[in-house]
Amino acid sequence: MNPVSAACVIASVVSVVLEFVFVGGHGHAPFGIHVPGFHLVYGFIGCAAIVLVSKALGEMFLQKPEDFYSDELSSPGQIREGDH
Amino acid sequence: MGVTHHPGALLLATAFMLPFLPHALRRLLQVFGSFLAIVAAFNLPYGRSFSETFMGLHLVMFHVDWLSHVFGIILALAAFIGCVYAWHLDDRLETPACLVYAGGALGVVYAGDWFTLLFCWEVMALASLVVVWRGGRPGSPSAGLRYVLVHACGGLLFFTGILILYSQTFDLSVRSLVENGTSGVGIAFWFILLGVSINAAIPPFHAWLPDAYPEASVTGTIFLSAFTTKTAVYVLVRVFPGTEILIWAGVVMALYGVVFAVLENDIRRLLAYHIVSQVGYMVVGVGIGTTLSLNGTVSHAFCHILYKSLLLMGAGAVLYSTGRSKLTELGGLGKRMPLVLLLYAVGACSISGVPLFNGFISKSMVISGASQAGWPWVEILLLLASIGTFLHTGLKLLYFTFLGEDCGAEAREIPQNMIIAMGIGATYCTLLGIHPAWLYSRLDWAGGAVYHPFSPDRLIFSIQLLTGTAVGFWVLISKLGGEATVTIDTDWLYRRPLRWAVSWTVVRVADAGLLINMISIVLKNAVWSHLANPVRFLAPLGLHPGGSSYEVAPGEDFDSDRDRFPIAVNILWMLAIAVVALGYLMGVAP
Repeated sequence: MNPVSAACVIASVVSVVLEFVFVGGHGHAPFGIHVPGFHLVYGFIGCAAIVLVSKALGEMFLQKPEDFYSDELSSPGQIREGDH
Repeated sequence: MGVTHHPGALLLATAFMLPFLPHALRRLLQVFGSFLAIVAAFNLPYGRSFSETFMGLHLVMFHVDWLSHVFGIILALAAFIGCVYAWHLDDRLETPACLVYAGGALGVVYAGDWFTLLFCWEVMALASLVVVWRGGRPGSPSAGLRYVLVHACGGLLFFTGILILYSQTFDLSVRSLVENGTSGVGIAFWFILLGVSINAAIPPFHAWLPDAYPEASVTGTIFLSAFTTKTAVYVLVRVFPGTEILIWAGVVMALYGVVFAVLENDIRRLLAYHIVSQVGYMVVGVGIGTTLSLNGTVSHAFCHILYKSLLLMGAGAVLYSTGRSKLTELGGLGKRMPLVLLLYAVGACSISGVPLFNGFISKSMVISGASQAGWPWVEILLLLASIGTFLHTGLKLLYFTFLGEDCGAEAREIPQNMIIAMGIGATYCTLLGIHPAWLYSRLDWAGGAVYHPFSPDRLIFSIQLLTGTAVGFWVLISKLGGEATVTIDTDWLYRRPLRWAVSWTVVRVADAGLLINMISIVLKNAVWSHLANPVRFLAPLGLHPGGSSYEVAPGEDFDSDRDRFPIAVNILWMLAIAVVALGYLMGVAP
């Protein structure tokens, strides 16, 4: 197993164990519903959602080639041929 | 106690001396002057004020309370760190402009009346424009022009609001417009809010920020990141606490910055989008308006200035050293600049809210404020923005710049002062994270509110959230590398459709001008033959000077030798007119 993947698994397990030891069922949670490991799962799902949604938006209409704005004047007052 | 104790005035005095000194003295003075400003900001006691009557207006140029005290300290500290970072820079204009900019920002936070505040606000806009224009990058001039046009609009809206407010209340003092209900000030409230929103970079008025900041120089960006948005947050805290619309504006901001940071390839622009995202937390805190939320906003502004300047200093060091700032062209630099990597990592941990770094002690406060005030959806969405922050500044930028595949870029040595400035920032980020009481004791805990950041559930939930994000990053790493693209934002509206509309209008106006010109030529040709020689019409009447049988061809020009009346006739007319006029004046003529 890749050491980074191993570290991820160990950290996840340890954080959930810590939650049971130190917080129990009494921690603060949004909507007052405390689910063990909620923040761990939310971190993962949120991360995936952010990446996938943003990439989809980018591919649909936000991302353009690097020279997209290159027809702009590079300094104020400079006028080039065929600018109109 | 006079104006000389004003930290902003100290910075302005420093700035005006700098251009006349040689580089060796200049850098000493810039660091010394900004250090004095920190000392002055610390030593200002609450309640001190300085006022002046100017053109019949009572102007409170200088007023200190807990809010301006906290903001004054951090803004002066930001100027000091920026000056240390720019120690090596030999530019007679940029650093003085940066200090004028910082002085203007301090002027805003200490201003006790609207006109002083607006004046300093505009000083900031102009000085920061000089900073952008000194960027020396191909895009700097046009980005600076767009920047100043946006801020001119914001400043005018703000000014309009202030004038309306003054005309209604005859009160210039800067105070909350929310307390007495918005009905009393009505339209002025919205004008001022809109003007401040532009400086706070609330979407859709935020595009100037990621547009202009990365076009400034390596050193200039550090100053830019600290002042404009944070003084706007200061005004929001002072004037608009508890304005509910700001809650959702802030949530949108926090997530908007994150989405655009996913797509961004330029590391400094990525960090600029995270300014938008982080200021979103502060705006949420203002919108909720409870003691805890407002304290969270102020703490977050304080901590944000420290870690964001640290992150931008790290990105600036990379750009300075390699000449590259795009993720697609970077990688593996950690081996060549291990100190920069370490210090950047401190900033990354801070912004991500890792416990024991300063982001944790302020961001958790805003989120707890939302939760305690009964806004669970806001809490959930701010946690999502936290995930995005760690994902991009903590993991993506760090991994693809310093770790990962070696880009093979040549890295020149970084000046020691850059490392020292980053060290100062990193020290403050860590110290505040370990000992938040230093900051908390300066806040206003009215109503007996208390906050303990290091409770077991907060610590463990933060670690879980960060771990979950790290796992997600590792799973999706193939999708996260930079892409060689630019991202269109709301600045597209004025860079494309508006620009086309303006060019179209210019071309149409020019065409209309040509058409009018052509019509006038045709008309002239049609009429000219009749008007060329008015005396010609006398010939058929036998009155032409050339004699009763004289004929002039149509269109023939006036010829003074031929068509002029004899001089005696002219004298006769003049005499006749003179006699009539004199007679009229003397009352003998009818």
